[in-house]
Amino acid sequence: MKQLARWCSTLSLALAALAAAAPVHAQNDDQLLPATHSFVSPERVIFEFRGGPYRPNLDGNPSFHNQFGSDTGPLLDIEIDAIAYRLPKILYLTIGGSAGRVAYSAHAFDNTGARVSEKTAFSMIPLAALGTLRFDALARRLAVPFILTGKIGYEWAHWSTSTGTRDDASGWSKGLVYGGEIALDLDTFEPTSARRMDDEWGINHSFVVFEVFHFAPNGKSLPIGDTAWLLGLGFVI
Amino acid sequence: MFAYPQAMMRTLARLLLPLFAVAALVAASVAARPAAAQTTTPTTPMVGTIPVVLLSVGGATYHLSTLSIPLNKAQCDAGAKLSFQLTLPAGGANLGFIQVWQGNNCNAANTRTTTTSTVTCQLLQTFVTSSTDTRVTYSVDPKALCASSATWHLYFLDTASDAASTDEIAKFGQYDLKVDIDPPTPPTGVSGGKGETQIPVNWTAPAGDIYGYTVLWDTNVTAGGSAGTPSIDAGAASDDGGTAAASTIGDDPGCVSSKLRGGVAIDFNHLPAGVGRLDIKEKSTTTSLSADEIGASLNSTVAVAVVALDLAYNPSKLSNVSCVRVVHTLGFWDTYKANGGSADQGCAVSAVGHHAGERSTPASAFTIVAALLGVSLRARRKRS
Repeated sequence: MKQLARWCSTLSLALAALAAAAPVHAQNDDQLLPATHSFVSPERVIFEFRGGPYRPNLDGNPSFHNQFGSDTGPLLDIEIDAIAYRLPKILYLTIGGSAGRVAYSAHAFDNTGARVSEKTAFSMIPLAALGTLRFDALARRLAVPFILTGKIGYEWAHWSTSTGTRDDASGWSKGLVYGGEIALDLDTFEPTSARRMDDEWGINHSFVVFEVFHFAPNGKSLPIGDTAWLLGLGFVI
Repeated sequence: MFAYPQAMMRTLARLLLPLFAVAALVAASVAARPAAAQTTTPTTPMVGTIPVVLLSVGGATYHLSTLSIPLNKAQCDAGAKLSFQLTLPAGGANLGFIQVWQGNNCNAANTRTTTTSTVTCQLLQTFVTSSTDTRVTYSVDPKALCASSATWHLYFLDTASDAASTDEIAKFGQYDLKVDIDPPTPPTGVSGGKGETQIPVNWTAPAGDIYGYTVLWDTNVTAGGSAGTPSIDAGAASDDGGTAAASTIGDDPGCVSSKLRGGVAIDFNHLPAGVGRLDIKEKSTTTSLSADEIGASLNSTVAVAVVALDLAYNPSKLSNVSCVRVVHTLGFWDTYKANGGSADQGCAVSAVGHHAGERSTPASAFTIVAALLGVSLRARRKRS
């Protein structure tokens, strides 16, 4: 139930952001807006704030499930990409990185296999260097509100585990990370608000992102990889 | 350029609020810390034209932040004298006397000289001052104030004689002194669990304002209780020696302590040998002990009990006595290895010099990135 509540909360926040944008032009005095939008601020960086369920697969080792049951985190993550190349209204080529955190906690066992009051925990801090290719031609040229993105990079995930106040082990898992993302472009629904945000704050575009990714640690690493999804918000500034 | 700032702000706020709400939740959850120890707010110590400051109680210097802590029973029993510092106004010191009264409106002559069933001004002490004194320190024996828990109004009157003056006093100082000699009731429902480095102890707070708790433990216990038949001493007031502890922990045999007895007043200056203590300066009704901290070996049982402290630091009698058991715990890493996981996978390093309770940096990272985003947006706004 806690997991469900967490995900409902995350989803509702994203939907709230989407819904909040919708009535804006109805509340404002659109007649006062300039007829054309002559100024567009330069696009330099893309921010994404995401969250989603994550469970390390541990190559099938049942210990995670035995210990933490159905705990799925969540994984909360920030990605920042610098725009290296921009083909206007068609695509972005970016390089950047992401950082996140996910933690799990449960009561430990005693020698008889019964749960005791003392807790055991496992946490990860995934850090990744990423290259991305974003196609926004659909949204910019055809008013179809979707942006498609492919990502590939290398991830260093620091993990640590403890029981009570005793640190049991920690280390780094390294390996390839790749994924695909589909973003719902909010500008398409609210061009007026989008222009205002650019004029006032230099936010060129905003969007709701849904990403599916896979982390594949190399053979020398603790196998904490998995395929998972993330949902969040993104901004081009 | 900023033709529509309000609209812009609204739009931005709508889009960013959920985002920062998530960031704030993350920061709050990761960076959560136990509540800080309770602090008291200093009260204004003087009313009138003579500033009065309480310097010490029983020779112990009072820090400004503890000015509002009431005088407690231990201090009263010890006859701890109250030391006040008075800053005399110019021209007032040459009158020669300072009278210390307690009561209500004692700066008014008719109140001081009239005693009714409800209004009583009592002269506590008279001091002689030198004509050159501008700042003097006096000690007051609190014996007359320690009869019951109350807030006493002390008046420091600048008078011309050592007799109870009939004149109205224009120059006086006032200090409101709280006395609390009533101890709180003991915590109830103390219960312990099993663990190795975090053995939990929980209890229910007594009624009233509580400053903190002291957890006591005794590692030298004998087996007691019986499986499935908890026999927990209720900790009811028992002034005549209390009762020995006897409780069970799940299916494990419980323990009996000859040193910790529920319902008995504790003399913290003379704790029995082998009894340890942990002071908790907050209202939390849970804590955890480690085997190392209490000096217990694996598979041993330890008796625990709790004493509550009120805002005047009056200790309650001992709560019911419960038991905790020190057992080796198997965490995720133990079960991972037991299921074939390799200890040296992933460049694993044995953790040293770091306790799991310490927090890492992710909350800071999220906060920094959010701040960078804000700064970036603001800079772009200025440029445009």
